[in-house]
Amino acid sequence: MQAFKISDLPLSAVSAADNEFQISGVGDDSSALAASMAASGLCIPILVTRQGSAEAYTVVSGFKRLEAARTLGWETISCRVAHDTIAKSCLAKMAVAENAFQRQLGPGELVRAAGLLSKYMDINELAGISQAVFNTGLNSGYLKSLLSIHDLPAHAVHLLDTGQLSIKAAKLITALENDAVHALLDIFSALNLSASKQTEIITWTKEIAARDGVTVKEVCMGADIRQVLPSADNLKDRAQAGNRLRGILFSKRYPHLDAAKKAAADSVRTLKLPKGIRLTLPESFESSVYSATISFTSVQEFAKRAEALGQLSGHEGLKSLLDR
Amino acid sequence: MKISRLFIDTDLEKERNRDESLNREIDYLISKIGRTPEMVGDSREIYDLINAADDPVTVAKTILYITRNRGAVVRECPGTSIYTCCDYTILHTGTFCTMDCSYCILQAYFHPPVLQYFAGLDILSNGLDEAFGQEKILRIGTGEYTDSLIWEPVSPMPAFLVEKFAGQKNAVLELKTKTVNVNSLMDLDHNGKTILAWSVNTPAVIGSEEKGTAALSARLAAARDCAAKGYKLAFHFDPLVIYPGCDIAYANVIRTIFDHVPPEDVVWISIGTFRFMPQLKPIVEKRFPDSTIAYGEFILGLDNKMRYFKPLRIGLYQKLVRVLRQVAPGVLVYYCMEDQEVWEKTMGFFPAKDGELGHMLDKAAADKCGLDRRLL
Ligand code: SF4
Repeated sequence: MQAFKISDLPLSAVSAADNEFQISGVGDDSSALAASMAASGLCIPILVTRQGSAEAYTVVSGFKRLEAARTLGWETISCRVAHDTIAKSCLAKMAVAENAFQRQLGPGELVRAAGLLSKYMDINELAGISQAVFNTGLNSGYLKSLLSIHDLPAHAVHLLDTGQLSIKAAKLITALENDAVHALLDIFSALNLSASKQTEIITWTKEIAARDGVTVKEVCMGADIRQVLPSADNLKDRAQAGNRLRGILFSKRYPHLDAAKKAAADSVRTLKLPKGIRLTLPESFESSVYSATISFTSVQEFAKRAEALGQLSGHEGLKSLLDR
Repeated sequence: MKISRLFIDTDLEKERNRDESLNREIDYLISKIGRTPEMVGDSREIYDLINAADDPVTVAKTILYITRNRGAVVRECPGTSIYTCCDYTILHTGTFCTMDCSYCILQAYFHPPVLQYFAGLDILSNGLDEAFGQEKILRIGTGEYTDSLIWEPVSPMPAFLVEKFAGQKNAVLELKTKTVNVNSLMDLDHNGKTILAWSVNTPAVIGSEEKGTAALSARLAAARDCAAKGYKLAFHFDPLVIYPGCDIAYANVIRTIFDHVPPEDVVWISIGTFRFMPQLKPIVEKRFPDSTIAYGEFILGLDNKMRYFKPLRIGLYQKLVRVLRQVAPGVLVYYCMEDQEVWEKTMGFFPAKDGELGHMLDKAAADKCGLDRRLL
């Protein structure tokens, strides 16, 4: 008995409404795929399964190809129709494997894939077949993290798809209360931060909340924080807003260090350091050692800059910097 | 914390059949602990047992492994070149602890932590004889990798050490604890060579961060009883935890100490703010979810440990040093692991020379504990 039968099915008979098996991100742009299909046709038939006994079909793998076919106005699409006897658990594995062996799965896809397969097997079994299905070995600890992320609001997985949330940050969020999760996801929706900055923001808000005896949501909803967040569709201000937000949170998390850094920066500004002279402050002011660097390209330049550096010794700004 | 399982090293078990004193020590331990011992030939079995637990640290606190110390018994304390070090000597009597302080570095220091009791008073005795033969003053403590007195109710070791130190003149024994386990020491002829030292903290910190330890009032009552028996004392304000109102709370602790004991009986007081290896933080967060101790203004220190932002340390130290100088002007106060800037801004001087801090402490020990001053 063959597992699949190749058929050209009318597009009207193939539904993507049931997206149980969908691994790729919902809303991903499929225009490039449509252009390729227009030029070269459909290289790999999509995988479908029959809905009951009717001549209606559900997509298992090929959601994007189906969408592109619709965009192109095709009337039929080439399908591999899974035999009715194939168990859903097998279809789930096929859905994941088809995607994973074509390209590296993105973070949102990994989470959806783990969520899908976990309906049919436990974590250890999943870890055991991960190389064959995910095209990479995943240990049970990592799979557990993916599943805890899968339990976050759907919005979180969407942010994983858009790159606004990393797996590491999402994992940190899973340990928080529901309203803290929503508050942080709201923040990440409005920003586009690197994974390390996301982690920093979660860690700082959590620690500020614990230290001050308030909730993470209360920290996130602070007027100063809301003020710097751009509206979700304002893509232009995202980078600057991210830096402003980190600045606000840093000053709340490390108020004395922040104040010292700002005061030191003020003192350095008053020095009006000439070109070619750089002053380096001790990291977090733990050491008492400051350093000045002169860069030069000639003896004359060296002499000029060394003299300028020497003149700084009488400057009030330097004194206030060192007397901190 | 109750001991749930008791393991004995099979080699040790064989040895005790030949060694009467070892046999007595182990029998005493077993009878007091009240658990049937299980023999174990390979310590890895215990490591595996602990590592298999969801919370290895908590489980490790309930599994006692009686074994031999196979390394050096007497060791120099590893200091750093960046922060002043007090040139301490460690007597290695065991590892880990049955109490459960959120900030305890031992949670992250051993992989996994194992509650070990090193049996064999003869080994300690030999190691100490060698140390006592040196022509220098030594300050020797057992409280680096464990609490010095956790086993006092079930072990003859603390009393043995006190008596051992009583017979010589170049070393003091410092027993550092958060317990009140001093009963077996009360009537010993200690000859002034043992310093009973308590780590102290504010009642708020003890309540929230030092699970299973004695209350401050109990520690100080024990200190008073020991002073009445002629023991010299020390107090360690370590770790100082910075929180709103902590300066007043710590000042109150200082005053309460000297309501209990006369300054003349105190050999030294050390102070040090909380510092920790970065690896400790996730352990604290996991094991003590209600603790906020790791959420102070910590920066990475020059020794790669997290430390409070320096001006915060200096601010608290200045206040405490002022109070200490008011209530106990003659008592030597020192920092374990601070730098020149901190010393100068808070104490007004810096023991800059190599070994200078150690020498100050040796002198205090010589003066108050009757050590041979010619060795200074
Ligand atoms: S008493 Fe000392 S050794 Fe014991 S848990 Fe507390 S800090 Fe660690």
